[in-house]
Amino acid sequence: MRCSLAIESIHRYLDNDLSEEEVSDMLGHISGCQECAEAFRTLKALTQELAELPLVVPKYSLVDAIMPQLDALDRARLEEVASEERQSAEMIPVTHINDRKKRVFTTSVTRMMIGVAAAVGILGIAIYNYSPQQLSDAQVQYNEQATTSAESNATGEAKSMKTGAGYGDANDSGAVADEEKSSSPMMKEEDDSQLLDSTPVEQETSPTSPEKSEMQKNTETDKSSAQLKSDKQVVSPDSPSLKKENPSPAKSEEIQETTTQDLNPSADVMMTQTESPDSLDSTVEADTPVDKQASELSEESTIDPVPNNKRIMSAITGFSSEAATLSDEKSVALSLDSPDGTMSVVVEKQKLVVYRLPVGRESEKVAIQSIELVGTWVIGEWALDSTVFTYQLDLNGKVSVYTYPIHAATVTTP
Amino acid sequence: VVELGLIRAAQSGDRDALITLLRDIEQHVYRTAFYILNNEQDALDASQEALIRIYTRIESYEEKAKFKTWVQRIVTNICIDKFRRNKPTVSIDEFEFVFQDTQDVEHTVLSSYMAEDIREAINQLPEHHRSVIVLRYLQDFSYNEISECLDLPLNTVKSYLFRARQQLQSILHEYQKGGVSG
Repeated sequence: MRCSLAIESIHRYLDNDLSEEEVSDMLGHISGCQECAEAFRTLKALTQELAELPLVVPKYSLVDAIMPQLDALDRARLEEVASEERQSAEMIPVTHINDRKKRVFTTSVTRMMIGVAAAVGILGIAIYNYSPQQLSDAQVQYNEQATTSAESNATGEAKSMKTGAGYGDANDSGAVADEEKSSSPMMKEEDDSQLLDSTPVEQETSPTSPEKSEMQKNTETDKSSAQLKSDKQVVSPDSPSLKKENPSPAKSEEIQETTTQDLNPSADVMMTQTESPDSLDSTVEADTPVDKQASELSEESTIDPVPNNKRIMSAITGFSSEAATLSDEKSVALSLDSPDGTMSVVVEKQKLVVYRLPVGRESEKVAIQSIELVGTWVIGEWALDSTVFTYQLDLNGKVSVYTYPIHAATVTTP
Repeated sequence: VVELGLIRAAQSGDRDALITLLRDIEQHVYRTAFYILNNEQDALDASQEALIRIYTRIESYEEKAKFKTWVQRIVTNICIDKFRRNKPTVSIDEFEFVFQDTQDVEHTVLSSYMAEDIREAINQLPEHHRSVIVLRYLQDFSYNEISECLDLPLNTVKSYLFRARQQLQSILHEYQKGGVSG
């Protein structure tokens, strides 16, 4: 055993870390090595001194000394817990607020959905009424040509219209097309002057009528009329025109009256300029052969669009009345039966009346409780097990949620 | 040895158990603090701080460690913090020189040291050597317990301990010489 190793063994021996075998090895080395024996003696003496160091004790009880501090810590901890509890208690309404926001959001969404559905309904009816024209073969490219030429020429330049028969017709129909496209930004001038106001249209028809009649003479060939028809067909699918023309049936009737009195193709032209595509259809047909026929057809055309418009209007008013009744129900009387059919809740003007529905021999429903509603009725619904009725009231823009537990028969507010 | 049931009671919120536990360990805590800091007042402050820390963190004690090593870890950490704040760190190199010197004079360094001298000698050890010596001789910790307490590898504990002893021997020998000459 080398000395360095023996010294380490001595240390480990002093720390009680040697096995018996190692101890004997170490002692064997010490017996033969004077230096290591000396080291062993001194280290053993030192260890004994260290082990005999006085076990000092504090001059006072440390725990007693820190007691006030420990008490203070406990108080602080309790306060912390209390404040946490308070916080958690405060958290409940906060979550409720979030909940409410969610519900408000969903109700506003549902309202929006109702509105969208209504709009789709109106649009659907309108589209349905215009469907015959939409079915006609739409030569979109040709239409674009016509409208662009109309853009450049038909903005009121009568001279260019007079130049050629086919060209003039193209212009004419192009103008019609653009007028039909009342919402398109390209023809703003004509929109303003011809479509939106009925009076300017009438004023404008008088100067255009001679032109038209002149044009009529030039364009009484089959070819041009066919071209016209194709133009018209192209024009008709223009759906944006529906929106503007539908709500103004009175206006169109008025115009039709004036135009029919005027007779002649000019009236027809004016009709096509101002009327719905229905009348356009008939008037363009009337354009072709004889004036009398044209007037007759225009008469027909006056009959034709009106019911259409009326239908649309009735549909619209029908819807609005429907909407009105809906809103009436909401504000005046809304009855909600529980899922199991035993209970019913009726909302009558600022009051929520809870009824028990007739069971067996009973013939009439029995009012159990009437609750004053603070705020405007928003929505209410029964829980699936029919034990709780939950409803929302809108008070100054804030939606509150109330529940009516049937068995407890008390109203709780969060 | 602190009873495990008492520790568990203290951990589960039994305040009386916790106070009893603190009373059981307060002398051990103080002893360590006293020998590491070598100053009664500092030792009182440090051990009180340690007891308060044990009081507030009793829930964090896990039984995988021995309770006494957990307690001593808290005390030594507090003491080492205080120690570092109180005085600049003594470099080990300073003692290496003394270490070399001991070989020649070891026979003169024998059993007549006063406890006061040893305390003074311990006080001159670097912080970790000092902690190791205190835990080994005043808490009667094994290598493993010291290792657990100071979070040091076992071999490091051994080498610290061996070295600390050699250093103490040298320091005490110097005192002896000084005492003789003075």
